[in-house]
Amino acid sequence: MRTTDGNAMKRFFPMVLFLLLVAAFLMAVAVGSHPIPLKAVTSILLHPGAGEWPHSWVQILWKLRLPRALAAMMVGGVLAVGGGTCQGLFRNPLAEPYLLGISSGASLGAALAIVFLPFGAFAGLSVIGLAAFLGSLVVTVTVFSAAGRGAFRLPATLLLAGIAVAFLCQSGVWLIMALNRDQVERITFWTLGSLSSVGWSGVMWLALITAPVVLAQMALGRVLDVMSTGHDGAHGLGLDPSRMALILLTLTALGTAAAVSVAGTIGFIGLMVPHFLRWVIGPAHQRLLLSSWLGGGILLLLADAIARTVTAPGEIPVGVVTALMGAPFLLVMARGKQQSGRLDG
Amino acid sequence: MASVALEFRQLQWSPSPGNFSLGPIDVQAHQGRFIALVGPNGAGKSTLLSLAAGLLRPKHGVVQLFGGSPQDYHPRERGRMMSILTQDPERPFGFTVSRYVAMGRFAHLGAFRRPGLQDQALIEKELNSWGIEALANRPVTNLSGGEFQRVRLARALVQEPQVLALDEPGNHLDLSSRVAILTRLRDEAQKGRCVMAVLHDVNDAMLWADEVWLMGKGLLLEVGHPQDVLNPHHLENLYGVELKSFVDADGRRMLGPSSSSL
Repeated sequence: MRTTDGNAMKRFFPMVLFLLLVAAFLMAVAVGSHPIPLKAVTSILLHPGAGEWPHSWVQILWKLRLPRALAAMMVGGVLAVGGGTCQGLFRNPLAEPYLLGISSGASLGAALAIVFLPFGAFAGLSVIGLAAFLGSLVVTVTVFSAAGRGAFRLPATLLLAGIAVAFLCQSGVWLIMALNRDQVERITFWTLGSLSSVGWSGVMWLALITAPVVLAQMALGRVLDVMSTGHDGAHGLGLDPSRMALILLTLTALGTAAAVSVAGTIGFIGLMVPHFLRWVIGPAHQRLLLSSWLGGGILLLLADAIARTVTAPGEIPVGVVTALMGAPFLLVMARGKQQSGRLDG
Repeated sequence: MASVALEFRQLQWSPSPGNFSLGPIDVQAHQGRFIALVGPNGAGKSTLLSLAAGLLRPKHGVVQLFGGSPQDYHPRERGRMMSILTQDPERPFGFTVSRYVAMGRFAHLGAFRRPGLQDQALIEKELNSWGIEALANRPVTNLSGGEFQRVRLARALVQEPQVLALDEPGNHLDLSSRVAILTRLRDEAQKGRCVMAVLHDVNDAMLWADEVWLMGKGLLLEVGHPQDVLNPHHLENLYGVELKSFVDADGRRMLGPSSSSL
């Protein structure tokens, strides 16, 4: 008997997800208002200068679809990893990366920028995106300091502080909308989340922040395992739970802030993907977080492909698609749990 | 006498708002001893264990674990010195018994090493010794209270600590498992560990422990050999129950409520 509980299926699951991610990625760059055959896609990606395909295809792929697909993959991935981290840390299968008020802080930042600084860019990121990034970080710091030292001993204090600050920010957003009726549509659209304006600079920004964040979270997988035994349990096993919680939540906040600064507050991925994967492959966090990154990428690539094809050449906000996918999924999961009599994974 | 594992000097503690206060307490716990903490509910036994493990910070005085404050050690170093079993543990969702027990090796392996062959052998040995090897692949959330308690004891021993602190280790356990635990704890003490356990049954303390710390209302009332400390004179006022001392067929002295208090 070995003490890894991996049967073959669980151990190879990340490989399967990786292949699915590659497939989803190729599909995502192929479909759209101007479909490009898969054969052309691979050939243009591998030999961009060959010139055997129409110039417009090369342009669409390299200027629009490729950065957008890369962004979808990284945003979906980092949200799902953040969700997996929060679910382990708070020992709650309904935790998600937005629960510390991050999304409402980002919305407030974005709404302020839309009204007061509507144009311009800085370091390759739109001013709106930058404001969202700063908004989410400010909110995170506020929530951490409001909850106080030792907040991890009673996660409820952290969650309460998060809910309070989220309400505060949300009322700020509503106030801005009430005073600026002409910007209501832009603010709402931003809040629903979209990848339509992502270019290469957004991709670089995402890679720069989310790659180290996600790798660090995966590296701390065993720490998360120990943390999921609770504050006193983790302390007794030989770690400092408050310090580790702070490190893991800071990583989550950074990654989530980067994601919302580029794509707005796309919902459900951070909740749904790790929740589902925990049920399929178990709670060991190294494997779970790796799988969550792959699964989050797959899901957002698919959702974004749907968002820009069903009403082509128009687009629907990708957050609407993820919500439409997420709600029935959660209902099915809830029903399954009710039958097995457990709500915990 | 064997070397000192834990020392409490002028130790005092109280919750910031609250009417309970612990101490001052002055006592030493030596290696190679099985120490039973005995006393009524609210006497401060669990608080004392939490202070020893560094889960709480003393208000006054000091706790010394092998000469240093438990809160000043690197957490993993502290984990190799001492493992603590608290009373109401959380069950991490979805983890199997074997993975849960393997977490006991964290203090030795750290975040980046996976359990090697020796670790695996140790884990298997403990699962076997608690008779839970058949549960290895069951999620801890699906165990009965008694099964989970044995899993936790296996995890605490896999941690190979110098000091084992246990809050009511016999909780949820049937008679045979309770006897197995107490015997195992005594064996571990004989191997040189310092075992500190909160025990509610005074006869358990009488039969298995080397030393009793009798506590009441936040104070350490008596320290000494079980036969000397656990007598009706010390316990009747403390518990508010009339007690009778009797000798069983093997000649061992035991305690029970006297017939007038039934």
